[in-house]
Amino acid sequence: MEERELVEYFRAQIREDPDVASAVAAIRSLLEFLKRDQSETILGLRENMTKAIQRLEETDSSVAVSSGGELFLRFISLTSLEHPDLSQCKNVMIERGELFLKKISLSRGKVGKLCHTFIKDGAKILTHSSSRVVLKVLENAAADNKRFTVYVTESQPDSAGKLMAQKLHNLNIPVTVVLDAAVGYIMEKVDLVIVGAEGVVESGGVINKIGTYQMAVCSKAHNKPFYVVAESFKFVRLYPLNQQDVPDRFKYKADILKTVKDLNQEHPMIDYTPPSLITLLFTDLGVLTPSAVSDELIKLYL
Amino acid sequence: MADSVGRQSDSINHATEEDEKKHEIIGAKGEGKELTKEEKQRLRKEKKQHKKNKKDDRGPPEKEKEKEKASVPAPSKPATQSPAHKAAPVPVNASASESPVAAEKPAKSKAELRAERRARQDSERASKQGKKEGGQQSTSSKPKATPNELQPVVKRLPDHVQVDDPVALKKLAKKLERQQKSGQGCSLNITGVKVPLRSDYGYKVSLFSHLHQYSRKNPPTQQISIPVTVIHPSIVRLGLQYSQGIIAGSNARSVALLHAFKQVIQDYSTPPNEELSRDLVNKLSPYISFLSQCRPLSASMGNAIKYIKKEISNIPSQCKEEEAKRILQECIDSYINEKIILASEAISKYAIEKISDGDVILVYGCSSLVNHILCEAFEKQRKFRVIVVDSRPRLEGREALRRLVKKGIRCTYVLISALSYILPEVSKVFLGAHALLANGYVMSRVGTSQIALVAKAYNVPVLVCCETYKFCERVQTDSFVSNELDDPDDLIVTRNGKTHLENWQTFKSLGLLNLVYDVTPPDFVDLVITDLGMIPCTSVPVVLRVKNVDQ
Repeated sequence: MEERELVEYFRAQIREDPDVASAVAAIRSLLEFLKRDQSETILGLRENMTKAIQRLEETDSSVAVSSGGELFLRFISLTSLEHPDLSQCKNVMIERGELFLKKISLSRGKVGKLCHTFIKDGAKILTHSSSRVVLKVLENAAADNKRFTVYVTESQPDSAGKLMAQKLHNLNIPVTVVLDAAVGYIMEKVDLVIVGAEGVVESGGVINKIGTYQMAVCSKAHNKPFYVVAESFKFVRLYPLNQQDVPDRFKYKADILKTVKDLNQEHPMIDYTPPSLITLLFTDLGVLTPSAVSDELIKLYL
Repeated sequence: MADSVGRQSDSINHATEEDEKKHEIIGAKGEGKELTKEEKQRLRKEKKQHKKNKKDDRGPPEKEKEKEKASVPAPSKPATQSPAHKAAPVPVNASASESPVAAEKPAKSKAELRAERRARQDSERASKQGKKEGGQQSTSSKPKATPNELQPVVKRLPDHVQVDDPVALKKLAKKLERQQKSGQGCSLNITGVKVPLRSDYGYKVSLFSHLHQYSRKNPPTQQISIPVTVIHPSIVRLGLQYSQGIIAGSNARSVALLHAFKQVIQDYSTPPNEELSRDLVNKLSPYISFLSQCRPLSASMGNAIKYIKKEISNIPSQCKEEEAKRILQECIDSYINEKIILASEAISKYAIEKISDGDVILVYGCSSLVNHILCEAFEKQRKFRVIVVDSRPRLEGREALRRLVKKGIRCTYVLISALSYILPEVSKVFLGAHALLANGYVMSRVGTSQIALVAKAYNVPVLVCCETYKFCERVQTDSFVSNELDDPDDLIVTRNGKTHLENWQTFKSLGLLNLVYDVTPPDFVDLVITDLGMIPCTSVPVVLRVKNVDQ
């Protein structure tokens, strides 16, 4: 399967099912790539897969695609590939790939079930930009007949917050859109803050849409709980020390990286929130404190 | 008088225990091999002591006691069934000094309880049967148990650290004596030589009075007469190098220790009727006590010793001596290679990812690992400059400065008092560690926690570099409980021809405190780089758990 076909398949996946997480779409594409791959050796297969992941990362520069892809690769190669016949090995790998895909397709539901109990009746929730996981959580809470109001930040430069507000409106949840600059102003009114994540790093911190770090600092200052909801395939083996330490390939879109010379003039799309500002993380592995993330990562990767 | 009677009763107790044990051993030959091996070892030791005491005075009271002690199978049996080193409180407990405190605590309290129980039952029986010796016996057997009883059941520190407790000190002195004697066996009868108990020097500040404070001018080797010594000369040399500060630094000390042990193993020859796997471990114990008298063992040395002891005791008994020695030499070499040399390569690889061009890196003191990382990064063409922070009295920063400048790295040198002045310029702080404790605290050279604290206040990331063999299971939240006091005379300095502190000992209210280590809480440390990867400080217990599973 050529790279172009792979990217097309990936884009098609996202078009068909806009609700799917980009990592899940990427993994579906990788599985398809695996099925159609024609390499003769396992080493060749791995190399092709790694290249495919890199290609997908370039298409959709999100941390989740990178982490999802790496985990997928680890998961399928974790079995004993001792069969003499390559096609048998491939079948085993494809089987495990399907298993992995099924597992992670269910993860959003699991997170939603875990988190919605933390939303009490009459709560005022603040969220940032548009996150499908947060939407699922709020959906579950609404289905549980809880009354709450939501404030969403506008989240420039792509105004994703307005999209989120529309979706919440469709669920009959009272929602207000606020400016990004109004986070400090609104913080005293809200009871809790829930955000999604594009990636969860080894230290227990999260990488998310730009503006999340500000929100976390404000909520710390006001002593409001700051919750992050993320599926486990978003755990990535990065360890940023500060905002500058986050690799450029995540901060800016891929085409900008290729065309623009001076990155200082560009606006980064994501920022890093350190673990000291996060109260709890809700994942399909359970409800974790930031220090437990490293434990889970060690289990997943070592 | 009472003492010798006490010893008699002790020996007779062991004599009858011996018979019981013999029956046990014959009966338990089908059971696990370990049990019988332990029994045999204890049996041998008891025999030696028994023979020695028998030579002293034999009398009718002995025979009578034998009769009544024969009716004491029940309490001794359950006692002797349990693992050897827990059952016998008074006889040699050789490995006590360097085993971790946590493991010692339950062992000692169980042993104390058992000793109490036994002593009580003995004294009861004694008072029941013979009232003539009853008074003397019960009191002599009771003092054996009560010193153990009097000490609190939950012991917080091993004996060799409780310097302000005279009872603990006496016990330590006796133990050191006994170690040398039992290691020798009953063939030689030399009494002059023993593992020296180094005496403390000068007034100790009250908060740290439970720690030893030695003077460099009184080396521990003065009391040893070399031709007759039981301590291997390479160990004596090593001890001297430690105490004089010639070998300093966690990695250097561990490597020197392992090399000295290689020499010891090379020169070792198994005595007849002994097994290498057990005798060699016993031989090492007085050496380790001697070394800890010269300078308290570091966490890395402790882990290395544990590893060697495990390897030695895993030598199969049918292995020939030459083969066993070769295996052990190889084990030690591979340990040094894997845990120290290769680990530092792995850590450099991870650390270099964190060094970006234009960085200003702050280092403190002289850590072999951090110096290695900076030299590697410089070779990989990273553009950075270094600020070396130094402190009295060791002034180790000068050594680090020398090494970095030799490589061609741009360096600045400041004393720790200028830290808050220089920190706004710094982009990262790299620190070495002496040990990483199980609750995530970092134990390192004194001054490190100060640097971490000020760096946190200025929002500068702090990275600690530490190999996994320095991770220890201890838990400590402050720098008082377990530390090291260096020679107080080091703080005396001559300036402009005047030495102000020369006569500090004459002032009763003046104490000089020269601490060696301090403890940094995990909130100040952003990242720990180990050979397993980059982990947050709170994940140290996870690594320990993974390591234990591996072993």
